[in-house]
Amino acid sequence: MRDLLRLIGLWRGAAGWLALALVVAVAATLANLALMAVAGWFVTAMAAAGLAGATLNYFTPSALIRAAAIVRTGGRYLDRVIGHEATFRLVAATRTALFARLERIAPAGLDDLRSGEMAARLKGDVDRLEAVHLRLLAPLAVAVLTAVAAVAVIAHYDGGIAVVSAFALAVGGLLLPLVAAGAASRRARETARLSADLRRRVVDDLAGLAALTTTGAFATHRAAREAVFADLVAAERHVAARATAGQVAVGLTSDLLGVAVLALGAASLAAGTLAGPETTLVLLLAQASFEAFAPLPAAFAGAAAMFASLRRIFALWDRDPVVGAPASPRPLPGRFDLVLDHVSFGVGHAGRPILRDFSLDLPEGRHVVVAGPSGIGKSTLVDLLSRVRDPESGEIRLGGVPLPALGLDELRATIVVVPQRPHIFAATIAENLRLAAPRASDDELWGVLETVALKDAVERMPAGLATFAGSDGVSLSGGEARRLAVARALLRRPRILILDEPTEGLDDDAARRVTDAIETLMRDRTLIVVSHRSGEPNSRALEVVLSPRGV
Amino acid sequence: MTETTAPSDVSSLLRSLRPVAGAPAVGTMVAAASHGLLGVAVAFLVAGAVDAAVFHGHDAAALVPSLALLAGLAVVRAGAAWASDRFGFAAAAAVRRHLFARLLDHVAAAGPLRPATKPIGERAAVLIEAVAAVEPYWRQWLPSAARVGVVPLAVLVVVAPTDRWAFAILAVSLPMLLWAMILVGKGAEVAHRRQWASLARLGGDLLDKVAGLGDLKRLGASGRAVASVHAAAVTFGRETMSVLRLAFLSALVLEFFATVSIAGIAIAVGFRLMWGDLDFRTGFFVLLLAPEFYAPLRDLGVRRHARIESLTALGSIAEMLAEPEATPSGDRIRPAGAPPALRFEAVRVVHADGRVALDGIDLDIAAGEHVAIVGPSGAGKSTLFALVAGFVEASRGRVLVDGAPLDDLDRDLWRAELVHLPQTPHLFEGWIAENIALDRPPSGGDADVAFEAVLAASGAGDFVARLPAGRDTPLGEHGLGLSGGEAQRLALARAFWGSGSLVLFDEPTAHLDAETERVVGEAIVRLRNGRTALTIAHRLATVAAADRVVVLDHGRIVECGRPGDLAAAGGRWARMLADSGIVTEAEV
Repeated sequence: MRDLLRLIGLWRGAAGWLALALVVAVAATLANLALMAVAGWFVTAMAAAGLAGATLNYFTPSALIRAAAIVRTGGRYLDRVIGHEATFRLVAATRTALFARLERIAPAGLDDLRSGEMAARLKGDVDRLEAVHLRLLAPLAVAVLTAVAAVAVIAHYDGGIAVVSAFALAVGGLLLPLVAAGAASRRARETARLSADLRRRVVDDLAGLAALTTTGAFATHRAAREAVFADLVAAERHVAARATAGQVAVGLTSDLLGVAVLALGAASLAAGTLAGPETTLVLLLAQASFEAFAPLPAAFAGAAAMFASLRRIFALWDRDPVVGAPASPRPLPGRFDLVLDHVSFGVGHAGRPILRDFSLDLPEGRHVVVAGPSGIGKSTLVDLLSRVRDPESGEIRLGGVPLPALGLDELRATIVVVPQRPHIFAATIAENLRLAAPRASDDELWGVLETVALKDAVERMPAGLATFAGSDGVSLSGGEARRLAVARALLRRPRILILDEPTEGLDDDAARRVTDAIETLMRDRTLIVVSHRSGEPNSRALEVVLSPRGV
Repeated sequence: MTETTAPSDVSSLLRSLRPVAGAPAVGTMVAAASHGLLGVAVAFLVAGAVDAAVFHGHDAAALVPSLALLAGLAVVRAGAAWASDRFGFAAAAAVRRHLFARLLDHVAAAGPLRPATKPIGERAAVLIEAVAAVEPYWRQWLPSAARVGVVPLAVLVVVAPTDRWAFAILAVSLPMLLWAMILVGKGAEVAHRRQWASLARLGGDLLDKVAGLGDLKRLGASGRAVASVHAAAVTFGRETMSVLRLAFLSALVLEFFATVSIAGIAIAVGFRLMWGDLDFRTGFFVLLLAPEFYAPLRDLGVRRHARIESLTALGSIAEMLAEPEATPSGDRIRPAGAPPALRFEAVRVVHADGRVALDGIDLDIAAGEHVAIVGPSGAGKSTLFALVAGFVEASRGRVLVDGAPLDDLDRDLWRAELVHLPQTPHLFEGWIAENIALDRPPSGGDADVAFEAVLAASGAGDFVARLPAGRDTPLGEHGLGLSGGEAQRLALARAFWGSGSLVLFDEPTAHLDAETERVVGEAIVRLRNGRTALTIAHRLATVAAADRVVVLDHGRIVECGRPGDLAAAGGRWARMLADSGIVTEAEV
C-alpha cells in the first residue's frame, strides 16, 4: 500500500486529468442507469395510461431517455481517451525515470543484477502500472459512486428494496470478488515473479545459444524454460479462475437481486406502497448498477501482481549509487598528474583483499602497462581510477585534487576507460562511435577506425559505417568489437586513457600496430594499458607489475 | 467478420493451431452462446413476472414458481459464464505452451548467428510478449464471435412475430452496426502492427541500453541514452494510444447506434402501449431484449481489436518461424565419441549482407588431427567454425564428415559432438557447477569426482575452492565477480566436462597469465588427445603445438602445411613469424 501511495505521489502532476476522466466516467455510468430506469418507468407508465385511457406527459421522459443516451455514449468515449492518454504518459515518464535512476546507480551498484532482470523490470513491471488507474482505482471509484447513487434513488421509492440492493451490491459486487482475489493473491504475486524470471532466462539462453547447442545442453535448458512457462500458466490459471469466480458472482448476484426485487416489489405493489412504473424503475436500476461492478473481479485478482511489480520497481529505484557526486564540485585542475596514495580495496567475489596499500605516481603524459596474473586486481584498479568505486582507504588525486571532489561528468570526460568487455550497442558502427562524440564527422570516424586498424575491415563491409554492429557485436569478430570500443573512447579525446586488455584476441602483428598507433595518438597524454601478460612485447611504455605481494 | 484478412502465413499458422486448441475452443464457444441464449429466456420470465405483478395483481406468493425458475436459470447461466471463460483459458494456454515450445525449437534450429541484425531483446519479445498476446483470440474473440452468431438472430426470431416496429429498428440497425465496425476497423490493423513494432523496439532498446549502462556512462552518453529511452517509451505509449483510440472510436460508434436504437425502441414500445397496440408483457419483453441484442455486438466490436492484437502477435511469431534454419538437418547418426574426419570441398560462404566470408575452401582434416587456423582479424576464421558447427550454411561446395555430407547428419546430435571454447564465453545465470555441467549438473558419487577432476584440469580448481560457496557460488552477469581469466577457465572446464569429439578452440589461453597458461596448456594437450581439434590461434606457441597450420586471408586459404615446413618455405606464415620478431627454430 505504501508503494501505491508513493506511485500516486509520483503521478500527482497528472491528478487533474485522472480526476477529470473519473468524473466523466461516473457521469457516463449514471447516464446508463438513468437510461434503463427511465425507459422501464416510461414503458410501464405508458402501458398503464393506455389501459386507463388516460394521457401522460411523454415529452420529459423521452427527452430524458435521449439525453441519457448521448451522455452515456460520449462520456464513455471521453473517459477512455482521457484516462488512457494520461496513463500512458505517466507510464512512459515512470519508465524513463527508472532508467535514469539506474544510470546513476550503474555499474557498480547493479553488479548483482543481470541486464535481463533490469530490462524485465523496466518493461514488464512498468507495463503493469497501466492497471493502477485504468483497471483498479478508476473502476472502483466509479462502481462505489454509482452504487451509492442507485441505492439512494431506490431508497426514495422503497426502503426494503434499497436495503436488499445495497446488501447485494456490497456482497456480490465487492466482497465476493475481494475474497476471490484474496484467495489468488499469492499466485498473482507469483505470476509477476515468474514472468520476469522467464524473460530473464530466455534472454540468457538466447545470448548463450552457441554454448547451449554445442554442448548438447539445449534440451536441458529448453525443458527448464518450458517448466517455468508451465508454472506461469498454472499460476495464471489459478488467478484467472478466481477472477472468473468473482465475475460469475457479480453476474449471479445481479440476477438473484432481480428475483428478490421482483418478490419485494410484488409485495409492495400489493400493499399499495409502490406504483407499477416505479417497480419497473427500481428493478432495472438495481440490475443496471451491477454493470459498474463487472470489471472489478479481474482488477482485484490482478492487483497483487501489480503490487508485486511496484515493489520490484521501487526495490531497484531505492538502490544507492556506490559513489556519490560532490555537492559543489571543484574545477578541473590545470595538470593531470595521477597519484594513488596508499590505496586499499578489498571486496572481491570471496571478500578477498584485492589491492592493499597501493601507491603509484603517474605524471601527465606518462604511458604505463599495468601487468599481473589474472585475478590480482587490475580491473579493480581501473574501476577505482574511473570512480566506478571508491577506495576503502587511501586517496586518488588528479592534479592534486582528490577524485571525489571532481564533478562526475568532468571526471568521465577526462579519464576514459575501455573495459575488458565493452558493450557494442545494437546499432550501426557509426552510431556506436557517435555515442562518444555525437557531432563527429564521417572523416573523423574513419580516422579513429584507421588508428585501431579497423578501417579496411569496415570499408569491406557492404554498408560501410552504416553496417549494423549487432547485439554484443554479433557481426563483428571479438577483436573487431574490442577495437571499435577503443575507437569510441579515442573520439572522446581523453586526457587520460585507460585500456583494459585492448589487444586481447588480436594476433601479435595486429596488436603491435594498434598499440603503436594509440601510443602515437596519445603522445603527451596519459595512457594506462592493463594486461595479464607481463612483458607486453609491443609497447614502449613503462611497466608496473602487480603481484600478490604488491607492486 | 472476415474483413480483416490475415496474411496467409498467419492463416496457416492459425489453422495449424486449431487441433492444439482442440475441444476447449469449441467448449468456450458453446458455453458463451448458451449464456447469451439463457439471457433471452431470463428476459422472457422477468417480463412475465413484472406483468403479472403490476397488471394482474399477483402477489409475491403467486410469483414463487416463476421466480424459482428464474433463480434456477440464473445459476445455470452463471455456470455457462464460468465454463466459457475456463474453456477459453484452457484453449489459449494450450496454444501458448505449444507456440513457446515451437519457438524454442526454432531458435535452436536457426542457430546463434540468426539475430545478426536484431537485438536479442527483440527476439525475446517474440517469445515472451507475442506468445502472451495470442491469448485474447481464444479467450475473448472466439466466445464473443459465438455469441454474436447466435444471440442477435435469436432475438430477431423472437421479436419478429410479436412487435414489427421493434423488429424493424433492430433489423435495420444491424447492418449499420456491422458497417460502422468495418469502417472503423480499416486502420486498426496498420495501427496494431506499428504498435507491435514499437513494442519490440522498446524491449530491444531497453535490454541493449541496460546491458551497456556502464559504457554509456564512460562515454558521457547517458543523457542522450535517457532521452532515447524516453523517446522510445513515449512512442510506444503513443502507438498504443493510436490503436486504442481506434478501438474507442469503434466502441463509440457501436454504442451510439445501440443506445439510440434502445432509446428508439423504448419510445416506440411506450407509444404503442399507450395506444393499446401492444400488451405490456410483450412490450416489456422487447424492451429487455434490446440490450441483449446489442450487447454481443458491442462486445464483438471491442473483442475484434483483441483479435487484431492477437493476429499481429501471431504474425510476428509466424515471421520468426519462417526464418530459414541455419542448416538443414538430416537423420544420419554417426557413432558418438569417435573423432571425426572433416573435408571441405570448394566451400563458399556468403553473409546475409552479401559479404563473402569464405571462398574456395578445400581442406582435408584427418580424424584426431590438430589444425591451427591463423590469419588477420576478419579473414573468415570464425565463419569456418560456424560452418563446422552448423550455424551457417555453405552457399556453394560442401562439408563432409567422415566422408558423408554434414547436411545429412542429425544436426542436434552433431552439434553436441562439438566442444566449443569461444574467446568470450557466455556464463549463464546460475551456480558455477551449473555453468560447467550445462546439461547434467553433477550429483554426488562418481560424478563429483569427475567434476573435481575437470575443475583441476581446467586450472579452475584453486579459485573455485576459494569462493565462498565453492562450486555452488552463484554467478552474476558475464560472470561478475570473476576476472576475465577466471571466467575463461570456467568455460574451459565446461569444455573438459563435455563429451564431444571435435574441439573448436578460439585461442583458449588468451586470457591467462603465464602460470595458468602453463597449467591450461598441458590440460589442452590432454583434451586434444583422441579428438579432432581446430584452434584459432593468435599466439605462436599455440600454432607450434599444432599438426598443421592453415593461413586464411580474405576468406581464402593462402597457405597450409606443417608449422615447421611453412616457416622454412618463406611464404606468408614465415613473414608473419618474422614480423612478430620472435621466431626461434626451437619453438616452431
